[in-house]
Amino acid sequence: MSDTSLSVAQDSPSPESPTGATIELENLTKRYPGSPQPSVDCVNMEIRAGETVIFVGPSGCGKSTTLKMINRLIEPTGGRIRINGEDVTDMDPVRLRRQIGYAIQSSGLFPHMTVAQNIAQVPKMLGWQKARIKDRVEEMLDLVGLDPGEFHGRYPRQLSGGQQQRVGVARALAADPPVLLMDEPFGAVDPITRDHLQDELIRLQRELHKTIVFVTHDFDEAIKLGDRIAVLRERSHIAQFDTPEAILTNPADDFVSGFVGAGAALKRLNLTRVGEVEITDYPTVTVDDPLQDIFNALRGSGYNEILLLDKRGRPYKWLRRGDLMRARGSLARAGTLVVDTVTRDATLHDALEAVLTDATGRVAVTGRRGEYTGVVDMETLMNSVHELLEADRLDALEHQHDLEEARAHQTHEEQEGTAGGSGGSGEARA
Amino acid sequence: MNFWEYLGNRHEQLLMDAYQHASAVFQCMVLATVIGVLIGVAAYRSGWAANVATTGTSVILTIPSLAMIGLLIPVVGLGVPPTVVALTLYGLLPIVRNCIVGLRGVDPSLVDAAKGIGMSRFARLVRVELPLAWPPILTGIRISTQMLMGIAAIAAYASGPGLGNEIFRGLGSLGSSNALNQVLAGTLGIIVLALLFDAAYVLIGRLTIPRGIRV
Repeated sequence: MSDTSLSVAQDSPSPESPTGATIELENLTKRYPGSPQPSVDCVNMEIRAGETVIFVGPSGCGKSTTLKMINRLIEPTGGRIRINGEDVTDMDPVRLRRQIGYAIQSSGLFPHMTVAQNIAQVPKMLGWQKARIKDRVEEMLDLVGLDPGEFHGRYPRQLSGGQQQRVGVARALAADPPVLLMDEPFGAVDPITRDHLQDELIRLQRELHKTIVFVTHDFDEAIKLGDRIAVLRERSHIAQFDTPEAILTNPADDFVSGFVGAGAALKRLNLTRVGEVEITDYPTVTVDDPLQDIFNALRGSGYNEILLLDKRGRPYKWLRRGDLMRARGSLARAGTLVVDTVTRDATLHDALEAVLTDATGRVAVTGRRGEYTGVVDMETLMNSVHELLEADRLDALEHQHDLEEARAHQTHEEQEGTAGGSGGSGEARA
Repeated sequence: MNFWEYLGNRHEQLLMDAYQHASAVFQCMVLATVIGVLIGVAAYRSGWAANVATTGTSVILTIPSLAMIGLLIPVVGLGVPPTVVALTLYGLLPIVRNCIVGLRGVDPSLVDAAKGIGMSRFARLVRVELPLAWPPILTGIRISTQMLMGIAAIAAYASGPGLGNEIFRGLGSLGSSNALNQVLAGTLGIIVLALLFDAAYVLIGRLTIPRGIRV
């Protein structure tokens, strides 16, 4: 059980073909005139291409300000911003923003324009041909799961909140920008729609590999969406910048653990898929087997129950010894129906739920067409979770060690005076 | 001669006056709209400038129209010029004020979004802010027009065009047989014109306010 593939610990699922761009923030600072403290104080951060980074923190911590400095909606008073290595701190902000998607809370759709006109705004400003814009609008509507024929000519107020938000994302992505900034985009929709939109965003990102910077105050949303999460405290100081796994298992300090909230181990279950833990074999029989064979199989298995598959190999019933005694030649009424199965893509959280509700204490794992591939039981789950947590802990320790070394190195350089103003390594200082 | 006979007799002169009246008001409204919106756009972002703009235009409105035209005569002469200047100045206040209110009423998150997707200052104004502020601006234009309809009658005092001539002629010859008819024809003519203009504005509103923000 120890050599199951635990690919969880890797930093981020590095995409095959990243279309995103790197973003580097170097000593980024915003100081408003008249206030003694800067509202964003010296943020250093390196965001990889194709990565989803979540800024999470209490309200007023400057996370939104930090985000808005990336597309210079708020002009930084100090520091540099580099996108794909190019310094954009002094670039024409209007031109810069056309290369950066921007989606905000309450969608920000222009109410006097139709859905199609809204989406077409950026391509139009970039001077695309009419026909190309038209195609692109249809494509974007398709991408966010809205029927182009139906929604094309509608006005924003004729859409539900969730639909407006989808159009907002479509507009942000219309010109295919490498970077997408999202400022609490799902903050104003109901929880069910929000869940839906989050799933949608995950699917989109799997297709598009943009660099996404996403601001939220909802830590669960951060865990769900982020490749890495930056937990920010007041003045946008980075309390911890790491993978969701590392933050859950090894919060850097009390502030972070306070923010993570209760139930970190349970939340951790959301981050691992059933396919990543050991799926054990289990004795099965099919409905076509003669009764005597089923008997023998059960007796020989050493288990109390056996899994009965239907004609297409899908889990059908759990059969106990007693059930077979009472069956009297027919399986029609014997055994208990299999209520819940999970796929390899389900989270461990779903699997645990299924195991807890199933009378046998295990859940059948099914393949693409619902066919049986194995089972996961309580013991496997517990062991996997322990291993995961242990691995996370080791990882976090190693990471911390690396950081300390880097910091020591930098301090050393600074003392030597070799590190000039621009010599910052760009390393995220947690 | 009763009123109807008077109308029948003088309809050519009356129609001419009515046409000139409408034309003067219309042209002054175009001018006032352009100037008023420009002032509004220039002023709406700063509280101070907006105050100056609204106070300035309302001070203009408090000047009695007869006095205003009288004061303009030595400056711009008789006839059309004082009429145009006076009407345009009077028409400013509702437009400037509604323009400022409308532009300020645009949801800041929309302006933020417009900026965020890369609209220049000018594009933001023309494509987002002004279209959204258009309904209140149009209301301002409508109020202005109603006001100018009445004020335009005074223009006759400076030998300007319009139905005011009819009224002044009547008032000048009070006691004569047609005096009352003249005053009545001028006044009713102005009322009819005002109603026609108002109907036109309803139509313009229908045509120019996008469906997405129509109430």
